[in-house]
Amino acid sequence: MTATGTAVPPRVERRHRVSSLRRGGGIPYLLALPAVLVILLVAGWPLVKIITLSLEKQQSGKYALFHNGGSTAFTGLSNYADALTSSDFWSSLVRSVVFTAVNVVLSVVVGVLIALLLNRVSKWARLLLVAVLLFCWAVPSTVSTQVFAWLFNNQYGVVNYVLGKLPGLSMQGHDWFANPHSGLAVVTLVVVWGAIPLLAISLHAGITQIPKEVLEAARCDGAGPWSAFRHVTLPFLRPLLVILTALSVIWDFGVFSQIWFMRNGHPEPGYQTLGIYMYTQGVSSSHYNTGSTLAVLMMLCLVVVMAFYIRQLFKIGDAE
Amino acid sequence: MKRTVLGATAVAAIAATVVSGCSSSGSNGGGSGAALSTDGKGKTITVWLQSDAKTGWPAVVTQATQRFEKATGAHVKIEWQQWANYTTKLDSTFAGNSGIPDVVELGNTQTASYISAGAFTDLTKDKSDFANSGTWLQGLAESGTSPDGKLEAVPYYAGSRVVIYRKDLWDKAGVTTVPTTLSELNADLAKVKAANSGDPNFSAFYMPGKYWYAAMSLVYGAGGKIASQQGGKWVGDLESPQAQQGLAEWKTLATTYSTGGATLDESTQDSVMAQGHVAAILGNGWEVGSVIAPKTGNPKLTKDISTFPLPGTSAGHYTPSFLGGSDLAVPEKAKNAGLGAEWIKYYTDTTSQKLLAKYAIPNTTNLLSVYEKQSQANQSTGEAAKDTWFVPNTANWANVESNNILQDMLESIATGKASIADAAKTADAKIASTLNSTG
Amino acid sequence: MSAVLEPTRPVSSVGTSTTTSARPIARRRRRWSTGGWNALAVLIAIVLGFPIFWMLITAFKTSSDINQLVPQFWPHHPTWRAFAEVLDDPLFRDDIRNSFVITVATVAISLVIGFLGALAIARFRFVGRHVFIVVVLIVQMIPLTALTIPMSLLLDNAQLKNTLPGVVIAYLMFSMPFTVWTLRTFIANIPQELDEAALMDGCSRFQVFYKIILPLVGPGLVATGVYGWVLAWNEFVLANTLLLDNNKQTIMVYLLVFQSSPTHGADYGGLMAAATLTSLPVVILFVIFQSRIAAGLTSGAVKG
Repeated sequence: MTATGTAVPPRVERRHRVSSLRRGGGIPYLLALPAVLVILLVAGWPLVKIITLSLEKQQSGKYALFHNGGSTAFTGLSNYADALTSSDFWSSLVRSVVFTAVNVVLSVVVGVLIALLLNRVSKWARLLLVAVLLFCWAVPSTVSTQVFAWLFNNQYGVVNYVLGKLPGLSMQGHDWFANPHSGLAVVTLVVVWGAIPLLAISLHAGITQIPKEVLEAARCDGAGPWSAFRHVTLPFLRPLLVILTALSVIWDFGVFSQIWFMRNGHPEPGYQTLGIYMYTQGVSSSHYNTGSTLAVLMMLCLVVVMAFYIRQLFKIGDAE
Repeated sequence: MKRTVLGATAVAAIAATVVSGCSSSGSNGGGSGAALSTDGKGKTITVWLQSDAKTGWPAVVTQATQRFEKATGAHVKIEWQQWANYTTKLDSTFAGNSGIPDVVELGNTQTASYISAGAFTDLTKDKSDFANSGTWLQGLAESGTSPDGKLEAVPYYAGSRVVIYRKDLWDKAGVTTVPTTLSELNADLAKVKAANSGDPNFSAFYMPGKYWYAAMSLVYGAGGKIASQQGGKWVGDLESPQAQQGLAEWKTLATTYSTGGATLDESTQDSVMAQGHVAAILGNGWEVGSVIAPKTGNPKLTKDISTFPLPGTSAGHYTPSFLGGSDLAVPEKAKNAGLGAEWIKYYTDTTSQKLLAKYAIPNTTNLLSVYEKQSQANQSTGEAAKDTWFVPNTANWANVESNNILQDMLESIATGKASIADAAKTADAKIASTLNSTG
Repeated sequence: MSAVLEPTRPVSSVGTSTTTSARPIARRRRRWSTGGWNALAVLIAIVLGFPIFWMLITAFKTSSDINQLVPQFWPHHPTWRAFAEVLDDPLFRDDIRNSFVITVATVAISLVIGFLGALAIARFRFVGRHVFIVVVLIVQMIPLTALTIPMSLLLDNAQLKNTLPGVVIAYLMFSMPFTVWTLRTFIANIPQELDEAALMDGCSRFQVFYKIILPLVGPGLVATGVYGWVLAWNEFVLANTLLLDNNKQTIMVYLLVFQSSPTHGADYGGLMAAATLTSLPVVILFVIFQSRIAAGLTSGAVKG
């Protein structure tokens, strides 16, 4: 930012800094080495194992697993063919995509709104809200799921009790989980509730970095609050938003414990997102080949979805 | 490999000393089977028990362990487990080579798939060393035996389900005698329901929509079954007229007499009953304690709770109860298989089982009378344990459970989303494909 | 909270060009609307905080009062029983200690390694830079439940099954990528001119990292560390499978016990008490480090 207080197009500054990334000879390799080693060892081997498992088929259940290989047959892509021709797989995939989209959009939008709000309130209100957000973040997901399950219980839930007090609304025995859509909506509430704190606090910190002069200048030029947001705040927050949204997509796509514990370990077909489907088909029934196949397919889905973000991240990274 | 070195030194040690009674340690487990061993000096065995024993009957565990330690000189380390994610934990442990326990507890519907995967030591040669092996409860013994008749897991304890009811609410509704047939039960429930019609949250009989043990009991009671083998392939039998009749009775309980439980399973039914708006549930004997315990339930109901076995379709018969329970096995890769088997011997012998009989059904029919004398609930559950049914004892049954096939079918019936015939048809197809799948 | 969440630059009254008469009106309007925003903030805090409130009061209720048909918004018979039992349980103390050891180790190691890796990406151009970035991102996409058996086999082969270090290594897998990513942004925001100035003064490249960059990225390290703490502390899928002995398990596994055998007695009060105690360390940590965290989140990640 220059001293005149007007907004210099960020791109000018960025181009100036690209050339200063230096080739450091062997130093970057040395620095990156520990991280690469950890990733290769800790994530690489299991990932290779998952891919290998997905290309094999075990005879007689777990026998091969317990007896170091036993009669495992390399079957190429037949597991993938089986998975991709199952209609249950496609319906869970669609469900996952919709579920993830709804969760990410809600989390980010509410996160941004709360971040903006934090910027406008007095100190005591800010302290209160941040303290509450902190606690929300700290509660483990199994516990928060249990609490929400109680709150939305059809007989003794607080939500039905409070809503029933509204005139004309009878919530007696209303079962939020009978319809999978409303049940997943409750799960969305839990997921978003747990996701908002990180988003709101990070985005708020980002907003406080916007120089006041720029906002004042925009207001002088007659910009309304929405216009100021679109043309000043949003461009500043873009890198942060990209990273946080990318991470939210990855995390929300893999949501498992909230759905699992909300349905007490027996999720109905209407609740099966890909993560749950993979668990019931693969892990809990000990079909580790099927499970690994589905895991690889899940990752491929994410890579496809994330292609856009990866390109954005490169652009941000290259601009340094 | 480390194991064979240990085995060799152990054998050498045995040869050098005189041990009366039990034979050599044979700690290499596996196909050759393990003989019980009392050579435990300096060794520690690891035992995986579910925390049901820790909260329910810790004294039984302690006395068995003490006697074992005295007789063998070995130490025992008990690691308490939970049922959640248990099979994944067992899978990952058995797949590796470290941390494998010497004794492991499993639910009796979980054993079949592990037996077929060769996870356990063969105990057939030692069967006569285990107390009461001639009179083990059939449902438990079956679950511990491989298809070719080998003993792979020893029965531990059982549970059967009975009707747990609020005597005070039934008396107030004018029902003073226990029903002897299902139609009498329905008539009684109608009276109880009418007497409490002002309470929108009242359930004359709380039947959760995913309670497959209850539903299948009624199916078996009507003469039907879940699945059978025809020509070497499994076929689902829920579409048969008898099974449909059983399911129809279940639907009556779940929709007419039960409120609010259509999308739930039976794990919360005790706390629901403790709230006071439920007049009857179908539960295991220990659930009585759960309903009235001060920490987890409502102690004010203590005097009002009583039990009776679920009546059958005609007088003089009960509806068969699912014989739930656990078995104990010695993993094939266990380092101290012989000692593990010895500990099981102490934990399942008559002394231990007599102590256990206060809390759970012991593993042998000749101790049932001891069990029934302990309390009213025990008397009912003991009666109910005399006529039981069990799931198809095949390796893939565990997948039917983990895929929630029966729960989904029942929930669609209880919520009215599908007719009994349609739901049964879908379930039968899924059961068949699951039980028949390979690998 | 104070120093940091305030706007970082003072509002300058010089730059505004309003007339003198309009300014008091503007200030009055702003004060009124601030009151409105405050009310909204309180409302949101109540709505978001309600589940936490429910968790807390359930911990103090007797079991007959929990989940009554008419909800009790305040315990009718408050009791300390649940907290007393949980705190008395030696297993609880062991498990908290195990969680503590695992989490601190995970955070410390991933901060060190992540810092070095982030330095590489942020400050240098090298062959394989893009590949490294993509790999770090892809590693985060592996579904955790699919990882249990392979990870378990890996650690078993390395004789690390059923040990705390084994779990730390497993956790590094998902805490490190996030650390590298976030620290990269913080480091990138430190102007390279500082590096160059130090180099001209005779510092070696490593001294630049250690003396110039590290102190300036301090708040960023704290922010990433706390986030990594929450990740590692609340993880249970891997912990349940990898830790086999009761005295080695983590606090999350301890919580699972309460939810495991409900028909043998569901101690909901105990569960909520244990859950409250489990959530406290993170909150305390946050309160201690809050000024530095928010400074860290502030100084990073905004500038392109």
